[in-house]
Amino acid sequence: MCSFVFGFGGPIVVSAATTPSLGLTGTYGILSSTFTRNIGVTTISGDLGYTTLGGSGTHVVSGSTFITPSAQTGIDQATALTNLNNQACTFTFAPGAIDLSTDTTHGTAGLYTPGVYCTSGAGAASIGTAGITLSGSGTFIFRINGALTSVVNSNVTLANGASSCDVFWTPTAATTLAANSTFVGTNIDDSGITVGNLVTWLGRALSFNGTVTTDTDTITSTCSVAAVTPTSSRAIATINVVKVVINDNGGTKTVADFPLFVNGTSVVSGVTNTFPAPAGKYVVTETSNPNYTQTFSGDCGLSGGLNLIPGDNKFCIVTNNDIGAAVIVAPVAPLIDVIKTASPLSLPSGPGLVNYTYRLRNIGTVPVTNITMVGDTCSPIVLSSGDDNANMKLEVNETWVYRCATNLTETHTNTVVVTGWANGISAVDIASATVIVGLPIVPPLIHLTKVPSPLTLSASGGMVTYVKKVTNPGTVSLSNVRLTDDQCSPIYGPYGDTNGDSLLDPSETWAYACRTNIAKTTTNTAVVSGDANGMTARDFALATVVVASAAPKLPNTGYAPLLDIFWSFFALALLVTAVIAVRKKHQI
Amino acid sequence: MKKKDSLMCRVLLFPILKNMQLKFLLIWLLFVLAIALFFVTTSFTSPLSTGKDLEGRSLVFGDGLLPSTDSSEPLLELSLLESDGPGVPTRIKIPKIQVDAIFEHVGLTLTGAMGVPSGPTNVAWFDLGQRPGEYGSAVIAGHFGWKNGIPAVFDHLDELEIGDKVYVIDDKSVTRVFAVTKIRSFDGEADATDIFISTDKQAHLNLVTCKGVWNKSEKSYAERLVVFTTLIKEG
Repeated sequence: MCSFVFGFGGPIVVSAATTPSLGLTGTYGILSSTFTRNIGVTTISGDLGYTTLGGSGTHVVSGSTFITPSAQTGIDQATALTNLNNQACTFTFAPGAIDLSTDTTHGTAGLYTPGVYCTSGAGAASIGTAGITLSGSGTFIFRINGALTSVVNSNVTLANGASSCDVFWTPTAATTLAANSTFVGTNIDDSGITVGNLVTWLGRALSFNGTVTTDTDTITSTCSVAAVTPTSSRAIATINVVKVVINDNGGTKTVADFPLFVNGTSVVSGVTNTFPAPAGKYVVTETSNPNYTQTFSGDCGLSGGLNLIPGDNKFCIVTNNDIGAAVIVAPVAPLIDVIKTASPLSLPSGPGLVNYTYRLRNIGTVPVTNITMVGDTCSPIVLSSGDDNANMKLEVNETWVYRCATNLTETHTNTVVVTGWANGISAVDIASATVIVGLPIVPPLIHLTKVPSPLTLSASGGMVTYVKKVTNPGTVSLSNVRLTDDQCSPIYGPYGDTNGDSLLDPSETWAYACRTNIAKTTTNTAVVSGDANGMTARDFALATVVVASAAPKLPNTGYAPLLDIFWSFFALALLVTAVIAVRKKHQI
Repeated sequence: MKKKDSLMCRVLLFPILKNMQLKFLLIWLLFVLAIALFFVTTSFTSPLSTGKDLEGRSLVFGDGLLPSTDSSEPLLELSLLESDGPGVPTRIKIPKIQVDAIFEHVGLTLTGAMGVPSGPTNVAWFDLGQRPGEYGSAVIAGHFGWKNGIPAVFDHLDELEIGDKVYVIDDKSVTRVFAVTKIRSFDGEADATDIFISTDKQAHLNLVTCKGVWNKSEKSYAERLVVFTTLIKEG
């Protein structure tokens, strides 16, 4: 049985590692001959086994505590170790000690795909500051001919469907995990396992014949599975740079006036671009204009930097706001919202036709023109209905429906970026939908709308209330729904979990709100994500609130003086009287 | 009878009177004067105080703090949000000049000026800016003069002095006390930045009304009286 692993050096054929049965040891968080708790409380999610208990600390166990565990437990540990040791190495490090976080002989530094990784010679292994990522669904075995150590603050991270129950470490000497580190997997080590202070360990410390020493640590034996990031041969990871332009001070620039780049490579706003990952840091830049400010948001840092891991689909939003003439009356920014759904959501039997539907709404207060829809893989995107008066303006509360169909041969996350204009200001929304090919898994979908109130403020700025509504356009309920906003906090909510199950069901709308004081024109970016079936769905919502740059004129609060008005009308009366008299005279 | 005529009558009306019946003339004059008095009492309102904002909405707003696209969707527990800071102002009291008035909410007029109250007795809060009690400058306008035979709320604003108290009650029944710190007159077209914007991390409340000479052509007084106040007590 073989699997293909893709790295920079091209495909490498490796034998797949398998997860052995752990027998009775499978329920243990800590299995030991001597269990020593040096400091604080050690929290064990799972069973605890020991013959001798020592140390001045304490412990909490969610499962059972076995004092002098059965001999069969020891036999099962040995059997599992034998199984692990008998599996063929898929990669053997050069003789000598190895830092797993910096090694590049096996592939990308810090990144490990499923397989059996063996050290040779006096081959102690360490996990350095950069940490390691175990990516992919499969078994990871680290057969270490020596000691296993980690450094302070180092991390072992699961990604892309990797499970803590499929990670194994079999050092032949002692294991020592440094303070404030995280660790993942089942470590079988009768030479002793020492866990530093404040370590979080997803897995098991199995040392039936040895000592396990802890401080204030948390060890969880239940399986933890990283969200699956669908991978495809054409998208190792993607970056989509999205441009927002605000002309609220007389500027006239458009999106095309700001050429965009990722690490110096030219990109187009809204277009999804594939990049190798992980591969250091990416930086988004543009040909800037001195008359416009520049702000980064979304997945970008404040200076436009972002990191990629395989399977990422990241969005970097670059907002340019003109610096120009002061205006008293702030123009109203447009506000649009797009929902994308795919049918079917999965193609378990393999490649097939997928129909995408895009529903574009104007949720603002001004008509939106010059609408562009940029999709990454499906073309053409055709307007199907909604522009009832055929004026190509997305009127307030109008909904336009677009459609697109394509054949998918592999799992893919399709993205659309919609841009529209009103009053010299662009509005942007992003929607993504994943379709799984070849697996009977239904992917999650999530949707976010955000509406600020008010949409404009006077030059003094003021309070803005943002109402965010999260829906589930898919078919599976979403757990762990997270909402962030780069300009507004705290966020209150959610409200709307009608059955109180903490899952965003397809029938529910969860509402959130936050309120903040803004002093200048602000485009804020909210991001929501939710999980289902080991995958994560995300959606973005952008909204611009325009703040005038000049104070209002003073109010005209006076009524005309009484006498002034009286004399005005008296004079009028005399005039009319004179006219009548003259006419009378002529009649006579 | 001629001796009793006023100079105006002799100059303007004598030629006419010679050829008209006096009774008819008097009736007509009374009628016209009645019309004039009606206009005086109802007054004409400046186009700048039409009570509409740029989008034609009424400048007197309801509770529409939160937009909603679907009323069937779950309601937000706004109370959580509103607990963050001052509520919207509902009543103002200035004992020194016997003011006890309710608030209207106003935005901008078509010319970029702050809106004004719809009548003489209310005050208007500029709701595109700060709420009274928030850091920054909340601005309140009140009329000066007479309308419908009713005196305006800020007719005596010029009688305030440094240290006088202004009380504002919000929709959470919280009373905030502001003290007068400065009184200034501005030209009606003056730059109002200092009135609408402050960055000293204090809560200001600035009261604006008209004063000076009435300009018939512009239907406006030449000056604005601004009373600057600062929050001194809350709750």
